[in-house]
Amino acid sequence: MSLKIKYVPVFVKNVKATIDFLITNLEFKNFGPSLIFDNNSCILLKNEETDLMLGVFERHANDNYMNLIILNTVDCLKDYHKLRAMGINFLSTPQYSEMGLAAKFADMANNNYLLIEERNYTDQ
Amino acid sequence: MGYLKVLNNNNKVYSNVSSQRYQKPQTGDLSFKFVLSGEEKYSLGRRQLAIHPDSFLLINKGTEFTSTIESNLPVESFSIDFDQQFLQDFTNCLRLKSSQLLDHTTDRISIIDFDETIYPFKGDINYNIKHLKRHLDAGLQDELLINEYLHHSLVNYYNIYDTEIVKKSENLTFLNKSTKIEILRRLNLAKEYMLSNYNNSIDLDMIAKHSCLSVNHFLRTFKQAYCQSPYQFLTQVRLQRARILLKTTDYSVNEIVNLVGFECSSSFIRLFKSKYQITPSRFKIPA
Repeated sequence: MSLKIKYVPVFVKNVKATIDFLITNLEFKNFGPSLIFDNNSCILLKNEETDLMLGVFERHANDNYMNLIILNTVDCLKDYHKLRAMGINFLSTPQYSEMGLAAKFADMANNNYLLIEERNYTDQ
Repeated sequence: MGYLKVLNNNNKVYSNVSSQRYQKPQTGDLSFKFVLSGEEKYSLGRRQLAIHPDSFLLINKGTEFTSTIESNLPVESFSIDFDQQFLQDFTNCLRLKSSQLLDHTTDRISIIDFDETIYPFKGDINYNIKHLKRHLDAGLQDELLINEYLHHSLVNYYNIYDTEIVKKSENLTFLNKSTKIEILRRLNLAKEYMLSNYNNSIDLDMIAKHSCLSVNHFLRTFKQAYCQSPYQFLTQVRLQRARILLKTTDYSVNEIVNLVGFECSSSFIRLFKSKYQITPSRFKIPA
C-alpha cells in the first residue's frame, strides 16, 4: 500500500475569512477543484514557495471529528479492498467527485481518514 | 500472449496482445471491448466499427460479432463479459431500495439493452480498467477485488450512458420521446462511422447516408444533440488520435498527418496547437 499525506485539513467556522487571510497574508493560492465528500466540501490551497497544501473545511456544530487525515493513494479501490479485508471500518463506499475517487474510514479513537485517489480528468 | 480469466460468478476478463488475429462469429454476455494500443475492428451485422485507445465498444448479450486485428504494431485488446446474474444484482442494487432487495418476492428490474455503439474511454472508467488490467497482468487472483473493479466499471458505464445517450437525446427538440431515441440512434451510427473512418477522406453526404438521414436533417440534429458540427467532431477525433500516435509511436509528425486523415500538415499543426496549446513536435518530445 503506497500512501502519502499531501493535504493538511483545517476546520474553521468561517471558510471565506480564513481563505482570504491565507491568500492575502501567507501567499497561498487556490489549487485545483474543491474536494467534496459526504456533503462536506473543502477549498484546496497551496503555498507556492513551500508546496504546503491545505484543505480548508467548514466546521459544523454537529461534527464530531477528532481529526481528519487525508491519505493520497494511487489506487483507491485496491487499498479500500485491502483495508476492509483487515477489518477497517469504512464509513462509506468509494465515491466519485470532480477530484477523483475517495472513501472514508475511522479508527477506534474516532479519528477519520479520507483515502483519496486524485484523478486528472482534463488530460484525456 | 494473453489470458482469459473466468471468475467463479462467470464474469470473464480477456486480455490479448497480437498484430494479426481474426475471431470467428460469436455471441456472448454483455461485453465491454477495449483496445489499449493500436486498432481492432469489429463487425456487428453490416456495421464495421474500429476501436482505438480513446474509445470502447459495448456489445449486448446475444449479438453476433467478429473481430479482426491487422497491424504492423502489437495491438493490446482487453474485454470484459458480464454474467447475467451479476448484471441483475448490479441493476437491482442501483434501482431498488435496501428493503426491497431483501424481499425475494419483489419483481426484479429488467436489464435494459444498452445502445450498442462506441463510447468514449476516458475519465473514471479509463482509470479503473487500467488499474484492473495492471493488477491482472501482475497475477492478481483475488476475485473479490476483481469484482469490485467490474462493479465500478458498470457504475462508470451508467454515467457515460447518461451523458452520451440520455442527455444528448434530451438536447433534441422533438416532442415525441420515441422520435428523439430514433434520431439519436441514427446520429450514433454517423458518429461511429466517423470514429471508425476518421483516417479516410469522408464527406457529409457519406456520413448522412450512413445515418439514414438527409444531409440537412443530419446537420441540424447533429448540432442539436452534440453542440458541434459533424466537421468539428471529425476534426476533434483526428486530433485526439494524432495525440495518441504522437505519444505512443515513433511515427514522424508528417506521417501522423496522413495516418489520421488530414490533408495538409500546416492546418494540422495549427489546429493541434489551438486545441492543446502546444505544437505536435513539442508534444512528442517532453521538455
